[in-house]
Amino acid sequence: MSKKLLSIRDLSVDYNTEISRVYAVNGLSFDLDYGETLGLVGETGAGKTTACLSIMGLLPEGIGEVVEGSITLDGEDILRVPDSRLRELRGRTVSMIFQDPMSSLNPVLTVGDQILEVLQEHNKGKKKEELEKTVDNMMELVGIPANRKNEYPHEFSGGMKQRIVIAIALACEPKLILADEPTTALDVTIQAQMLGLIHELQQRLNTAMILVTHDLGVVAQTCEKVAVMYAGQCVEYGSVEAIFDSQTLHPYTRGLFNAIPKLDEDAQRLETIEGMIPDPSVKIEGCRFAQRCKFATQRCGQAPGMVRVAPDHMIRCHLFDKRTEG
Amino acid sequence: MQSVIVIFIVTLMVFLLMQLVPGDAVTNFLGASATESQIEYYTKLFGYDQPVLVQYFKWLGGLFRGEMGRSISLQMEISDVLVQRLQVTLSIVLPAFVIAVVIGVSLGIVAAKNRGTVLDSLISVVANIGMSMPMFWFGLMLILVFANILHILPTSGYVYPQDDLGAAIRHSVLPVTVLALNYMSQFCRQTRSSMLEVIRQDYVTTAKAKGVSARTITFRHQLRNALIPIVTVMGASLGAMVGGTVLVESVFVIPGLGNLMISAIKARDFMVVENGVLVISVVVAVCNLVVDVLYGVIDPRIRND
Repeated sequence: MSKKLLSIRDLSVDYNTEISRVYAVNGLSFDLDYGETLGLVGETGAGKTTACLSIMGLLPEGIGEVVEGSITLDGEDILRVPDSRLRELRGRTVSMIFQDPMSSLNPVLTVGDQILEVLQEHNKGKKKEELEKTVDNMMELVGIPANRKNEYPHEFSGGMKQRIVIAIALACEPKLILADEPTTALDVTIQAQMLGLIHELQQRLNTAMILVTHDLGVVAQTCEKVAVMYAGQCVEYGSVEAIFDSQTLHPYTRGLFNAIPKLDEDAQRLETIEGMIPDPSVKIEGCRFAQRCKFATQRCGQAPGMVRVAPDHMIRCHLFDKRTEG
Repeated sequence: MQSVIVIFIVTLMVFLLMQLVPGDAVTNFLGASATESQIEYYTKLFGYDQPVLVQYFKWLGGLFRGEMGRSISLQMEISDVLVQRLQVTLSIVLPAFVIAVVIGVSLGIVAAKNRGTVLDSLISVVANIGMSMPMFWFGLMLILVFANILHILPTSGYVYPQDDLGAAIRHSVLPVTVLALNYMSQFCRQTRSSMLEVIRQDYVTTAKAKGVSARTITFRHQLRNALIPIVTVMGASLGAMVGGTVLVESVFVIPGLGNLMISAIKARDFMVVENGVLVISVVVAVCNLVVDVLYGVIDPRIRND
């Protein structure tokens, strides 16, 4: 087996709030190859962002805590490396594009300085003039004239701010980008542009990416692999082809697909998945989706394992598990 | 412009209020044995026989020629006295201000970074004590401990730095400490609360995701954005310190602006009071102006408006 860029095994993350303990991620596992794009799909509260923050080592201090599992990035177990090494990895090996460009740039620094900062941090020996040139290149690369680098974030529109955020994320040509709903806060017309840009740059720099999104259409367009998350677990994992063409799907994924409006059908109402995502502060023993599942049976009281239904398709559901059939 | 109007109104009000105070400088200066004709002569000499508003505008006119008038009680040019006394006051206020800023802001940052810990509570307790302890009482306690019991510092008095620098420093340690502690506590509390507001902002996460050091994050990304309210408090405090050293100056017998004002009021030497108020209000106005300019330097969004 070839070396993976990222390998997450049985990751569990808890948040300790004053009121209760929240189980945000519960035994998440998936792999990512070099240069590969993974779509991380799931509804709000499924633990997608938490998973990304764990990879960055940026869980809120004193609140978020990895209680179990391992994250191996480019051969290093990042949950065990010292903070100083983690800082070297951030921005250089792995970087992140955040959800809201309006608030993810520092309002009192010029955009050029903010791009320069990440370059200076990871190219300690290089001269400033040389790095300034890279800043210019990065700005042109994301489609902003380099002569605007002395302007401040408030002088840019939302879409342009996100371009700057992308420039910061890509400045050091990382091996992995975590894009956490990079288009959610943007205008619909800008969304396609932004995804196109991210995809194009990712191809050009041969960077792997985890794209967190609610939009299955986006996943089909840009990703090679899909991981569907539900209540802190990966319930379905596979190649885009396998999942989008297959009739064999986790009941939750099927629900997601059914919730997409179809142009060729004259439906009055969209299909929804009944119920709500379970309370994350309650530990669930069996299948986490069972409460909302149409196919739930007695055995769903026990936690299902990942079942391989095709060479590149795995589902966490008793329906497909021959061993527990009964 | 605004500050010029404010200064004008303040001086006019003080001028008019002083007229309500019983007693006058001439009788006070000449004493009980003065004859009627002597009093009349001096009153005329200093122009106190003229209507109040005429006196006011004469004084105002004098200012434009750089003249503040002559003090009856001190028998000196008021401008000379004020310059000298202001220097004394500033030699206490400025070191106290710098110390208060450095220690106050540092403690505020430490408290915010360690929110909810024992360290945070400890700093809050110190800040609360510093703010609530009366300056004169704290001054007396320090004199008791360091001068009367330990004998390592002088009890009071003032030595000009140009005469004997070592002695000047020894004499300033206690008054500077008293003044600094109170303002340090204010700066500390303000820094802590505005740091807490920015500490979890998204751009801080972005900065962390870049891999920059904790120090850069604290100063470049957090403190820089938390600075506006801190600078506001600092500006107001510096003005208040110049006008409010009177307590410290009394306790430590320092011949500064505050003590000058007290003795001038006692002697009913209104012109000294009036000019003193003018100097203090100019200092306050300048502090405000500096703060306004700093706003623009700190935050580009304000600069553009």
